[in-house]
Amino acid sequence: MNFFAGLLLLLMPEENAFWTFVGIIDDYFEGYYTEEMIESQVDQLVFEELMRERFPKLVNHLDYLGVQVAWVSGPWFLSIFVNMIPWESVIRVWDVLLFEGNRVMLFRTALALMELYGPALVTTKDAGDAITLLQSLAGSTFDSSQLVFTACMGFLAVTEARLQELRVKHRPSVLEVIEERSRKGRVWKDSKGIATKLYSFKHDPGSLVEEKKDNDKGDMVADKDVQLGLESHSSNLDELLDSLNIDSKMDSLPDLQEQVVLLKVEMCRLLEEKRSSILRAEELETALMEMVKEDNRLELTARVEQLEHEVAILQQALTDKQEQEAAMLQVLIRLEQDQKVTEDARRRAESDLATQKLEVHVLQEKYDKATASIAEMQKRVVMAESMLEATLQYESGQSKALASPRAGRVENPSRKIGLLSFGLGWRDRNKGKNNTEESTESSPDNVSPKKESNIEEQQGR
Amino acid sequence: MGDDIFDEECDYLFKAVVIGDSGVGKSNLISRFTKDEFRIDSKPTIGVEFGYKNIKVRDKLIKAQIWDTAGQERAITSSYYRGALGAMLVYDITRLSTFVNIKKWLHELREFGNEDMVIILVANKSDLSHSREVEKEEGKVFAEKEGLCFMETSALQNLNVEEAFLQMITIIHDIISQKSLEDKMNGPKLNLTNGKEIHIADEVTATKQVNCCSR
Repeated sequence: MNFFAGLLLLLMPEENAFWTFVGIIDDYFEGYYTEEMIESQVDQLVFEELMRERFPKLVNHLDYLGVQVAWVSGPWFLSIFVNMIPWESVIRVWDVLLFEGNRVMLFRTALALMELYGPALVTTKDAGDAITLLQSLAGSTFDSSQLVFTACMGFLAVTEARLQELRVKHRPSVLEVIEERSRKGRVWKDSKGIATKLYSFKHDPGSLVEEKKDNDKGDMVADKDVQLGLESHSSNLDELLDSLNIDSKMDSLPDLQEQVVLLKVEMCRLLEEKRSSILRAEELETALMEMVKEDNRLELTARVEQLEHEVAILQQALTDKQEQEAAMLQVLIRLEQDQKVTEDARRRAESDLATQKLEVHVLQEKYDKATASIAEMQKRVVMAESMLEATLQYESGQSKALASPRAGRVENPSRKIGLLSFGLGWRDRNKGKNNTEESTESSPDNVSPKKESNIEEQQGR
Repeated sequence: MGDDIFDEECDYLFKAVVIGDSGVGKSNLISRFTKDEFRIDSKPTIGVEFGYKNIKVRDKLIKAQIWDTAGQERAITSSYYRGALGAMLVYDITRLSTFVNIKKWLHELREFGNEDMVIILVANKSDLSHSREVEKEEGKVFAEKEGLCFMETSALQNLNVEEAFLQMITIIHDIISQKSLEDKMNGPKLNLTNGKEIHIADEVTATKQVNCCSR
């Protein structure tokens, strides 16, 4: 109880924690944390029966070891798993517990733990080992989802109705044991009689009536029984009648009026319970409505469809783009080819240009050569002229000395003319040839006529 | 589990329970004895926990399995007594109520436990003598009246803790050896009421109620 109060204090302020605590203890664990722990013991018997039903092999093994299932499961139930399994798992179990509004989840979780760790338990050889192993294994249940899943899905058959049935079945035996003990322990009870009576007075309005009437200590047991019947909170009239029957067997029989009063009290309580359950049903209904309202699955589906549509459009666009890209690529390839072609053309043109340049160069060289040879010719012409002059002077000197100067003078011009006419005639003949001779390589034979013409030109000047 | 190896070597396995009101220091007595640890901030025990210790008594190796019970759950602890050879009844010298309740615990032990269970009364927290409510003499007188061993201990200061447990175990051992001797003399028939608790030894259980403090 303290562990669980601690849990609440961690989650909320002090006052809230207190009232939550009161609420949970009253609504969920009535009769659990009393001196005799009746409901707790009943639950253990119920749990043991469920275990026997579900895991007969495991229970047989534990029986063999002398281990009672309650030794391990008792602490689980009493602490509501706080400090027994990891924190996160505790919270998850608590979620379900509070949501369902009864103790069923306790049973389911305990059964789930047994299912998870039962196989390991079967291997133990000693009571102490078995209990220690189960405690440590439960303490390492870190997979809270698995635990809650196993608990809720694996043990759906464990319902509140079934538990109530089993509780009714087992409660008498627990009450019997307690009665037995209290009878044997009369000495102890007597010494504490006043305190017990005060306790009963505080907790049970029904016993107040009796307390007034029965001052005899001998009635303590009967008194206690009635009180237990009420405390057990079974909302079960049979149970109450049972305990009353036990009373009737006891030494002092409570009168009818008293019974009527008790029954009235019980009826009031039942009515109150009915009212609260109706309230709870309404609450649950509103909660359900809210949940339905919050259920936006349709909206989500529509949105998903829209998104899918968008995705389709985008995909279409993507394919278009890809096509465009392919076309662009083709265009590019073509452009490249064109470029290559033009490049080739350019290269060809360049090579043409180069050959032409070469030709021009060759021609230039030829021209230069020709010019050079012309210059040489001129020189030779000059030389020849001077030689001619010298020869002429020598001839004229000879003729002056040999014959009359006249005869000599006549002879001389005639030769001069003859030479001249020869030169002119050659030039006329070669005039048409001149152009072709310049482009082609000139033969050495042509040099001398050329000389002649050059000489003539020189002379003409 | 790892203890199995030890089990093979041990001559006996003794089960003993430690009981008493909530908060008297049962868990710390056990942790002091088995692990030499003391925790000032220990949590209340829920259900049952265990301590193990191997002890050598008169050339026999004994494995003590000590059951640490929850003081808060008196209504449901009775099932733990079954098969226990020894019980340690603990009260707190600074709280009179725990001493008063010893009567109740003793009553339960006698009712649900073995007849020949060795019971030792332990007055814990002797270090807190300034707030003492129960005199040592009172405890001693009560123990003598009921035929129990008595010892004042302090789990915090490690006073008498080991001695208390050792005394209990030694007496259990003596009773068992005596019993086995008698059995051998009487014949090979054995009455194995505790066969489940003691795996190795096939000679168990004493028949006589021994008042240990009379020796």
